[in-house]
Amino acid sequence: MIELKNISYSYHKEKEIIKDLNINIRAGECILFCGKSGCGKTTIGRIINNLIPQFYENGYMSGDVWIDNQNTKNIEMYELSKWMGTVFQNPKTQFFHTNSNAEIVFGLENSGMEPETIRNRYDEAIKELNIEKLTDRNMFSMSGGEKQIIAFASVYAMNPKIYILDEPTANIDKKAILKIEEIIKKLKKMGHTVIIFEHRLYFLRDVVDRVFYVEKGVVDKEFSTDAFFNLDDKIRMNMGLRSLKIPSLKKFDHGYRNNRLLEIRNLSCQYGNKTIFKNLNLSVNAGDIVGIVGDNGVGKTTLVRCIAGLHTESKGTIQLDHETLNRKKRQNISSMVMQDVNYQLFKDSALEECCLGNNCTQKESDVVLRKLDLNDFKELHPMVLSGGQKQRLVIANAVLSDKKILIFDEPTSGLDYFGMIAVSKQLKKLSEKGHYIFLVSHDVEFINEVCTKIYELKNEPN
Amino acid sequence: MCESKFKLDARAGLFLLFVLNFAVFSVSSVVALGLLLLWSAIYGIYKKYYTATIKFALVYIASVLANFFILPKCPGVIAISFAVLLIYALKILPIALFGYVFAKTTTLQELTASLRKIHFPESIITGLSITLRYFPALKEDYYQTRDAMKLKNMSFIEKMSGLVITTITRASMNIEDLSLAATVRGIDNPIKKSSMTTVHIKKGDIFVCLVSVLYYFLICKEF
Repeated sequence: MIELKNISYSYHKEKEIIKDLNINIRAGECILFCGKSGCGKTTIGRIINNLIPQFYENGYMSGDVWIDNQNTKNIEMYELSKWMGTVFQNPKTQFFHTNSNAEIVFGLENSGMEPETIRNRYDEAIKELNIEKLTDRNMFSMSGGEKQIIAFASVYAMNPKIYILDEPTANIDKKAILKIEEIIKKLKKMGHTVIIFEHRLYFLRDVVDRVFYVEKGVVDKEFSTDAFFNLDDKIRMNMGLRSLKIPSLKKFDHGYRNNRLLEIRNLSCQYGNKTIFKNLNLSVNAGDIVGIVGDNGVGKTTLVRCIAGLHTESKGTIQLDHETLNRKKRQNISSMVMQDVNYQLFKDSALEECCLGNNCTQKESDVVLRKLDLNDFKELHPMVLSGGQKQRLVIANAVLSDKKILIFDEPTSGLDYFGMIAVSKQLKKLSEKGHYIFLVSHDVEFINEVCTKIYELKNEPN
Repeated sequence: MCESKFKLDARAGLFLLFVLNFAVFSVSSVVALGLLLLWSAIYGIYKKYYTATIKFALVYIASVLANFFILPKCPGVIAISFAVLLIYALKILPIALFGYVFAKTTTLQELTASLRKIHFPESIITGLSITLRYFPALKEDYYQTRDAMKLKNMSFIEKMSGLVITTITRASMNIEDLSLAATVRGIDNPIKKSSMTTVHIKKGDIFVCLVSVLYYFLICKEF
């Protein structure tokens, strides 16, 4: 059904990103492409869905993609959109409308379908994906997971034969991942061809038929599902792949015990009249890495924003060594790596960026950049770096700051195994230096690797 | 906000907004502008936007009071400059209140469906959709960037340039991502686009338009 013949691609003539790719995908198959960050997965996806070369016209591509014996070079994007739907990685930037209903039918309206047929397709999509709760909502008020489900629904309503999923779980929690797993299973059952490009792998165990491991733009290995999901852990780690089994939280003890203490007492936070959490008590010792866990929307980010002085508490205190810290003081001693690090990049080079606001020497910054595998990119503009590299750059800035409270909000969302381990090592070093570290994450593998204690936030009944 | 039973069709709303603009710029008396504001206020109250209506009314009263009691006591140049400013503020109030309530009670889908019905060029409709989607995104970007800067020891100049750089780079990234997502869902399709939302001009729309136009006409004639 889909045939990639002798595909090579490069952004510049000198360096090929994809090299001599030859793949056949049969109708109804579910295929997984995996590999380290920057191995070329996303580029392969863009070649299959024709965005390369039709949208990205500046690169150099050779070879052909055939879908049902038609060369995609001769197919317009809008024609292809009837057979092939794509769900992208970032749920925040792939919606066109501000209302979820309008978003779901966006593709159908573009094809000029009759209003009655659009309504029927809309009803079917809502019913079959069981997303009544997400209808007629403001897209800006939705969580990342909810937006991603709407992105799925929008493609589902168009009923394409082929689905391309580019890291659909990169920014979402466990519940949303389960929902996506359920949707993919349904698609497969219905005979659709599904091609997935992913870092998170464990949820695909019962879903995929074949796995392609990509390394430096080449399909290095092809696995059957059984062979892949039974890979030895050591081999899997050497391949830079994340866990293949559903990770569960290990048991944590009470963390460090020392005299330096950050105490959160009876803390309550609200947005307008809505209570996010109330009477929260938490003690953190110097050196502790506290994993803040809980469902989406439970208030994890609000809690860490409050600790950093970016959100005003409605009640309660935060004390450091028995001194109560007001909002301004907390801002002065806190550093935060946000979920979307693009908001935190201000300078013209990676080196300048990692020193911004910090009293660090060139030598110190070089060491941290090297440890986070960024040394080769230090003269580049931060905005030209890949998602994972940007994330590590902001982490480098936090590592070099002399702030006492360090907060990391989903710092591993786009990272492969090596990236995750590199970040873990830096966090452990900061812990040794006696920082108070808070980590908001859905990444259980990462939490198990790095945290010294856990705080689970639960829904506050209003 | 509760919805009232009668909902003005988006085309009727756009028409009234257009006529109101003419009316507002054909009169300059404070009373006439007050009467035009009153008509917009009735629309606001009918749609249950009480707070917004009261705020606009208070701004009107404050501007009129300033015009009659404060400006005459000010030195000549200041009085003339502020008088011009106040008259423009008074002229904008009826349009702004009507526009605010209309925008709040009309969804983007209704607006685009209506514009398609009156054969607006698709490129303008697409541009309008993106613009309206971009405002909340811009607000979100601004708050996130401001928070990020609060936690860094940045000088005022660094903050200003950071804000500009981040806003521009975010905008270009968002537009690229959005274009990709729209392209793979067939936005380039040259076929006439349809809409799930069906819009109809009702008798009530015609009645409201006629009464409003008559009201605006009488005010323009009298003042």
